[in-house]
Amino acid sequence: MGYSKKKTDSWREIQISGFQEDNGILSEFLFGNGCLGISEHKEILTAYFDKESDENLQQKITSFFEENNYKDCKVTDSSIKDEDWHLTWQKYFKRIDLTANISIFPYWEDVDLSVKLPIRIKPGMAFGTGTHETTQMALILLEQKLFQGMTVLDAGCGGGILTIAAYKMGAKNVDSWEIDDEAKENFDDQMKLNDVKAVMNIGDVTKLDNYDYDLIISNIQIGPNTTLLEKLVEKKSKAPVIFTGILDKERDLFRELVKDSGRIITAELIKNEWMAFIVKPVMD
Amino acid sequence: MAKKIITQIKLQIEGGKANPSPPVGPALGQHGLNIMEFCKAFNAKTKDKIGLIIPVVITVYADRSFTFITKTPPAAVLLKKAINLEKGSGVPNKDKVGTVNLDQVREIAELKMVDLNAHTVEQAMEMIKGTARSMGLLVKE
Repeated sequence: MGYSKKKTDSWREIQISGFQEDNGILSEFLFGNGCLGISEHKEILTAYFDKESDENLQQKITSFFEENNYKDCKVTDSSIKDEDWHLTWQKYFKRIDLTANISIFPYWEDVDLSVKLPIRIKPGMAFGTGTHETTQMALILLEQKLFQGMTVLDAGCGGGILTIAAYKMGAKNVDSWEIDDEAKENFDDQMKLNDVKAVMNIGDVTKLDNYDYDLIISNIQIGPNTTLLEKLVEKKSKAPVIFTGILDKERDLFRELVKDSGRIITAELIKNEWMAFIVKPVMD
Repeated sequence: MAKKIITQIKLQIEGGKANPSPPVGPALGQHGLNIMEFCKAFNAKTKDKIGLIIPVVITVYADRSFTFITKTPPAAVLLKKAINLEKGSGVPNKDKVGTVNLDQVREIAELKMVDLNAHTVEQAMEMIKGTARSMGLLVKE
């Protein structure tokens, strides 16, 4: 991408406390005096400048406050050291050992060869962080329910972490569906990282013609999960379904919905405020 | 899936020019967000806004994924641009640094309607006039 990072060892950091919304008048003044960017948190506004910016800056700002009635605003002038910020976020993502066999590795970490089912992820913006409770529970249940040669539907696949896991666990075929086309780049990147060949279908997974799979994973939320459940009944799907993305407080509602649909819950998992269920049709 | 919101980050940066330096680096880095992904997405979304200050609100979720919305540039920034002013008055009550006409005020008000707490364009225009006066501009009625 085309950004050029200016070589510097530090930046000037001007903090203004007691700031109240003013339609951008103060921002305008700061940018007019060489400000490079502003961050706001509660009533503190932090403005960044080049370290060699105007010596009298703090004085200028103080005068601006006096002359324009910014009564409660106070200025402090300090500096912040340059860091490799584009890399610092990576220290927050560590390997996750989920079960005896499954571990999730961010792409910059080497995969431990003793792990049976390593999954490599590329944490993106909206997708692919792999750290959400529901994704983790879906992986745990997938490991219990998926056997060699099965066909799988991954409903709401996002960055494709469950698709990868299903293939690694021996699925014959996985159909991956996602309504948000922004997930595609992350999906493709993660397939490549894990040496899996899969294509993300963009569209509404509750509108398929048939649901003839050996196993379905639906890691969405209660609304689309409910629509999908109704559709599975309508299309007489015999597949067991791993439903996740349901909140603990929605537990009773979901149990009712399943009961009304004539199907049964055979397993429940809970992690923090999130739940996962396995739902099956009643066999004759 | 639904996600738990951890915090919101508010920044003001130039359209099309986000990079990992401050304020983006420290603000996003401390929450463990993928900074390059943000810069890429922000710059793509604001590539026609180079030279304008764009307020952006980033919502951070528990699993360190995030979304962001960009807002219209602050009124003061748009006023300055409309009349090609270098900067606002240091002493707006005394020193008038320029004049803005009602067409310009209306244009800015219409652009900013989405972000302003105004029901009509006329109300929005009153807000823009207020900002203009506070920065030392005369409003030609």
